[in-house]
Amino acid sequence: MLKIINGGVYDPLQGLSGQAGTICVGDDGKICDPPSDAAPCDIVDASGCAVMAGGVDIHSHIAGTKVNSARSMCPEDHYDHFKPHTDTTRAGTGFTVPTSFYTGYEYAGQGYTTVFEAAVPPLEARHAHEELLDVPIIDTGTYTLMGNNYMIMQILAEQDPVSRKERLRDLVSWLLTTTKGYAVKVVNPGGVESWKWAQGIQDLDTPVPPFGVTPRQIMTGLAETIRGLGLPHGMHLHCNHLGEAGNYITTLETMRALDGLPFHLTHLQFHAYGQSKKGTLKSAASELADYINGHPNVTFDVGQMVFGPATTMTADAPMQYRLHVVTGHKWINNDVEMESGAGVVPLQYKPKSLVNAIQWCVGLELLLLVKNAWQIILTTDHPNAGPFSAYPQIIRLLMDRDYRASQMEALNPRVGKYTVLAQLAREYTLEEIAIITRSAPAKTLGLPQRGNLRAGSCGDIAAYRIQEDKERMFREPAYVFKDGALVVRDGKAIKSPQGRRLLVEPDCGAVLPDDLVDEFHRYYSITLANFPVQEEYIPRPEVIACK
Amino acid sequence: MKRIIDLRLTQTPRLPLEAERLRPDLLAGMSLEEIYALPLLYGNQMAAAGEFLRGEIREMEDGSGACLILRGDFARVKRLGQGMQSGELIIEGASGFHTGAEMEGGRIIIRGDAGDWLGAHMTGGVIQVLGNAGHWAGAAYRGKMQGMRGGAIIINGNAGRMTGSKMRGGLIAVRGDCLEFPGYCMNAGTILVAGRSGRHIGSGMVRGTIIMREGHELLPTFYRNCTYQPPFWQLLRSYIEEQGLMLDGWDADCFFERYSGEALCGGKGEVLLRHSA
Repeated sequence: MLKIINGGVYDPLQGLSGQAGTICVGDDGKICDPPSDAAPCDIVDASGCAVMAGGVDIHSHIAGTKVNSARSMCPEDHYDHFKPHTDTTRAGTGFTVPTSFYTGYEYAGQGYTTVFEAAVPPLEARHAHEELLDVPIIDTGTYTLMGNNYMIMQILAEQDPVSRKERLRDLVSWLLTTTKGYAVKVVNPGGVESWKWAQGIQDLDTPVPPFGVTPRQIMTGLAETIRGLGLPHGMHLHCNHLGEAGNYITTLETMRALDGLPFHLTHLQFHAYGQSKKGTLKSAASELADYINGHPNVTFDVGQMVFGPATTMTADAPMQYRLHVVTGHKWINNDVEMESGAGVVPLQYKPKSLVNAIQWCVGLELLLLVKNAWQIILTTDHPNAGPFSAYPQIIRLLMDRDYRASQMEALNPRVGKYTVLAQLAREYTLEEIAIITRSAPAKTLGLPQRGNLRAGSCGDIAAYRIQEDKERMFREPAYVFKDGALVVRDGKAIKSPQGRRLLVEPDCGAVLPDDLVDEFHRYYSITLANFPVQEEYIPRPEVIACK
Repeated sequence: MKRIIDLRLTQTPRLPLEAERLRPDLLAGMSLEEIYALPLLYGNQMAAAGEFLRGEIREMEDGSGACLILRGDFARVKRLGQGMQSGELIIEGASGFHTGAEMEGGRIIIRGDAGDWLGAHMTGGVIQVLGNAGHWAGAAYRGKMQGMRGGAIIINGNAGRMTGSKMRGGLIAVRGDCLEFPGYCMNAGTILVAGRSGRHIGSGMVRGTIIMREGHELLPTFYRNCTYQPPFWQLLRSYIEEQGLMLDGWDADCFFERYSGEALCGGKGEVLLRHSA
């Protein structure tokens, strides 16, 4: 048994915000009530610390083919950032796209214990799971890409609504089961497929070749299926028109179209741009925040931009092509057969660039204008808007108004014309930080045993030394425990256990319908027998029950 | 008062020796004992510089600054003069990879052959090679977008492949021949090859100037503009001669055929082929 004493406990779910308390973790690695007898136990003195549940990252790119392609494409990301091995940890390199082991140590070193890889095409799922085996300490899961899947669009184009619904249910269930995914990810629904046909998406009702289904049909069809299957996490949605001036109209329309259905908006910062009279970018965070404030069921993660190097990687291949053309930076494009596309473009975000400065402000505006912290989740869409190692800096920007003002001085001076950030005075409390970094993501993901410190929850705990400089506080947690075992001390990983893989098992058929089997044989480059991810790749599964 | 640090290689390293600490500006204020104690990465372990080097320190009345003389075959010693800012480094023999990489100022003279990545990412100073240079002279390291940004690399012998790849400024002058892809994806700067060059001259170049002699076949994405006498040629020629490189047949009143390219990358680069007449 482990006892953490004298710490100020922050557990928003239980209404604890800094009250002194004792957290006990039983030998089974679960948090338990303090025992009545004086049983022998390890005692950790966390006086002066804020004790929180382990952090949960709802959206990050840490494993899979595009992450690996980015590593080989960007050796410059590795020259100056490396860590030698220790007795318990391996060596690693990389800043925006660290090596797999380094990723695990760095996440745990900031108090994060659960991280989700946000975009895995079914065909590449085995690669992602194999790579996640080499990401130590943290629990992981993957989202399976379905927004531009040929078979899904084929079913959505069918006329009979009853059979369509059933067959879509079977297909989504089969895809999740065979790819060992946790949630359904939709990236630029229909847009990637449309681009492959040298067309584009104008709005949610533009038909997508070859079946003529629209982005609206794809999103509502999948979200209804997710509700029918009772998946713990709603549709993880990357909207159309990412990064385009005036795209907040698409985002608003998407939210209205999905009203009442389970969905989560990801990296909303990239989807919250208005258009100035000259056609350039301006902030539309207030418009989106107004809508979100009126709809408490909507959740989003922010995708806050961080100045410095970044490596953009997404299944939104047309967006990456545009980025490559605009910036002239190197580019990888990948066409994933029947399922998706992908692109990688390394970038450098600069405060003096007006566009980058506006993007930086938009993210912070969203974080500050949305009132209910339970609807907000902190991410940088690692490594798209910046690396996850910048979370402590973003926390300081949120908690320290003066620091925010000082950082704004370095921005392009014209930024004030297009944003409202300078007028926002809100400062986050530690409790709100605990919500946006652990409790809200765990709740949104449907993980009742994570993001809180109730008896029966996982013994994933982080203790941060309370100090004035919040960046330093969150960069070097005094202690991090994984399942009750001390894995990090003073921000350094001292143990390297293997984490669990979070899965769902929808109680629907795990077999591909016969007519789609024929399609599969006709068009896929591999056989059906080689498609599913075998159980050998998931040595420590944890199945999260559907509702 | 000029300080001369004269060191001799006592044994050829069996494994590569990483000697980025051997720079005249860093060694200027050190005693021989301190120099011998400098830790250098040898294979995957640290070794003291004194295990490989012996020598003396002299003071000269004339001149100022520091001069580091290294005698012996340094082909297996990497990163000599890396990042140096001032002073003079004279290598009386061959030098290994990355010599003068990221150099900011001063002068390096290599009396033998130089290894690959000579002067990669350098921003200032002059490197003079009396022998041949390896591949990637003045280039950008893999993945980086900008290579050499200033200074000059003067090669009396031949150069290897990818000379000046992604260079962003400065001058590379080669008296002999060079292998394929000189000026690959260069952004700016000047490359002169007096001898024969391998294929794919200036492939992917965005801006910058490549000067060759007549008779080279260019890529189809380069198009001819005119025959002319560029006003900068006399200046460039006299600068190269000042650096000790004499170019036979490259007179001050040469005419050049000017080609623009690469058309696929905007066509702002230029290749000048010396006119035969």
